Amino acid sequence: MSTLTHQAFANLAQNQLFEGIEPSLLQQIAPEVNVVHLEPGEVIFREGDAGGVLYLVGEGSVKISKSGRGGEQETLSYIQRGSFFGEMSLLDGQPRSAMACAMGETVLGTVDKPTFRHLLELAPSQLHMNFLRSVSERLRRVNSHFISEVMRTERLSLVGSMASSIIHDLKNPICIIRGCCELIAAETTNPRQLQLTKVMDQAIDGMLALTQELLDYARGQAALQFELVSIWHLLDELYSHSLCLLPGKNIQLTKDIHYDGNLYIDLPRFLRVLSNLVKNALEAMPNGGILTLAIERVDDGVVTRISDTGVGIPPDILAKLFEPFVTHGKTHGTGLGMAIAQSIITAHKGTISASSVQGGGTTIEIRMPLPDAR
Amino acid sequence: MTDHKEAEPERLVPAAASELNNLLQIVAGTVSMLENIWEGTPDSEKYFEMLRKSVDRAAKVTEQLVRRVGGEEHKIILHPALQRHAGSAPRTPVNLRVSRSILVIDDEPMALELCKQVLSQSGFTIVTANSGPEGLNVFARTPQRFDLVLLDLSMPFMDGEETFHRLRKLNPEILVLLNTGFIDKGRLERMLAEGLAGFLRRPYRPDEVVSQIQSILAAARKRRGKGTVAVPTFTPDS
Repeated sequence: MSTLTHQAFANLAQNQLFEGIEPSLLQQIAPEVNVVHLEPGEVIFREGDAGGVLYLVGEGSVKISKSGRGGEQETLSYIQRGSFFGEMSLLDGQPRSAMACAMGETVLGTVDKPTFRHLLELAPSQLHMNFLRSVSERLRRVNSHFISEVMRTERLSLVGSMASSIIHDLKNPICIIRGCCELIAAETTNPRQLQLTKVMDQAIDGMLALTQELLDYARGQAALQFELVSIWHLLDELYSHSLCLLPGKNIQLTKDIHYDGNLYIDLPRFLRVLSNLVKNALEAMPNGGILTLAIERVDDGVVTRISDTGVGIPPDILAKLFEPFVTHGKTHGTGLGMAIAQSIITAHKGTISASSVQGGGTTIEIRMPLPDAR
Repeated sequence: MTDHKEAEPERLVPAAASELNNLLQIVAGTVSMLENIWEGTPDSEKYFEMLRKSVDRAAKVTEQLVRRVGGEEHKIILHPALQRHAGSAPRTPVNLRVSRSILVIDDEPMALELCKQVLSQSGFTIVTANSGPEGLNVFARTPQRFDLVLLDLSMPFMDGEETFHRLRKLNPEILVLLNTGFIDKGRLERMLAEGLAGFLRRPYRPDEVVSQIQSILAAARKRRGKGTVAVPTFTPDS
């Protein structure tokens, strides 16, 4: 054994696998332990590789990861110097269940099956204890990680379903309030009293719109129904939903369509977003102006822009535009619209952004991925 | 699923609960103002009754929403130091009462209007401001003039919490009553610990805000009578 290997083994001897084992016994094992030097990022084994060897970390650290649902690697844990890994396939002979790669410059010691057996003969009780302790520590960590993940997911879906049932319960009393308000308004001609019923009416409108938006949102949390929709079909639908409102509002509509393909979208939800944006644009131009609808293909996606020549949005509002209840200069509207628009676009794997010049109008840009060639 | 999408319900639902309660507050306030000036047929009495009941029912539903997303579920909270003096305080006879001055800060014009009406009717002098910065401006001119500030929490530009801190900087003894449709429990605890006089969750009836303001003022007067500062920065043993 070279001096270098001697030094490396001195490090490895501190490993928790060897805790409590007599140094003289370890000296017997030392020649059987292979010392491996790894460069940062070097892969030690991949998921599915044949196993059969346990690794001791002497220097550096090792990242253990597994390919997740989305295909990307999810980090499971980092094994620090002084610990060991890869014991599962040493024991059960199964292929590697995860991928291991070196984080920095790393020194590992490998213990194969015969060596492990040798160790077991030399120091059965210590080895068992060390092994069990480390495995149960790891199990505990994974458990608590798992539980907090499950709780998080549960809590979120709970919020969604709870919100929708509660919102349903709200509609009833709100509708009664509306009815009573109308009855009372019908009984008076006093301007002050009529004014108050009008105030009440607006608040009721606000509540109804808000509950509807929340319901839509809760539903939006459910799976989207994707379909391939041609741009022209989308524009037709948009016309019948909101662009048909333009005449009589002194709004000039400019269409600037440079994309002739399809989008892979949930049509009703996507349409809601566009309709909302058109509505906002119109509200920004109470005295008329130009509404521009532009669609074009860029490198890897399709960009839709809705621009107005209205009052513009102040920078401090613009920065928080997609947060709930950031409203600006709106007489009605609940302030959830942009937040919901963002959540719908995000669910489509798209992005939405806004730019605005005060006094010069606002542009909302939606960038969607190109539909897969099919 | 991206993190972004998962984070949504956690910020959306509290915001929505808050806004629903704010709107209910406007309905409740309007109903009571309308009733006060109503000269319709006796028949309409039953409509008002239904209105009040429906507002209560809606408020119960939004309360569940508030509770489920970690909001403060109590409707009325008094700073512990004031709580000790509240309740036992004898009502000051009306004719001896100096008109008390209240600054109301809220970004919703209708909420300001309703507060102004209700509180003026109860004999308070009311000054209103429609944002944190405007409220601070008004307050800074005469920090000793106001007996209490009735403050909204969710406002653009500067929220109620920051406004509260700045008010207390201008006058460390100022009594601030926070009223909002939703506040996270932890946040309210923090603000109480920093000397917030009390909290009132919307929607509330006009008499509820009047009586809470009266008990805060009465309790503070008692404390002051004993030579103590109005509302201390609260520590568990204070």
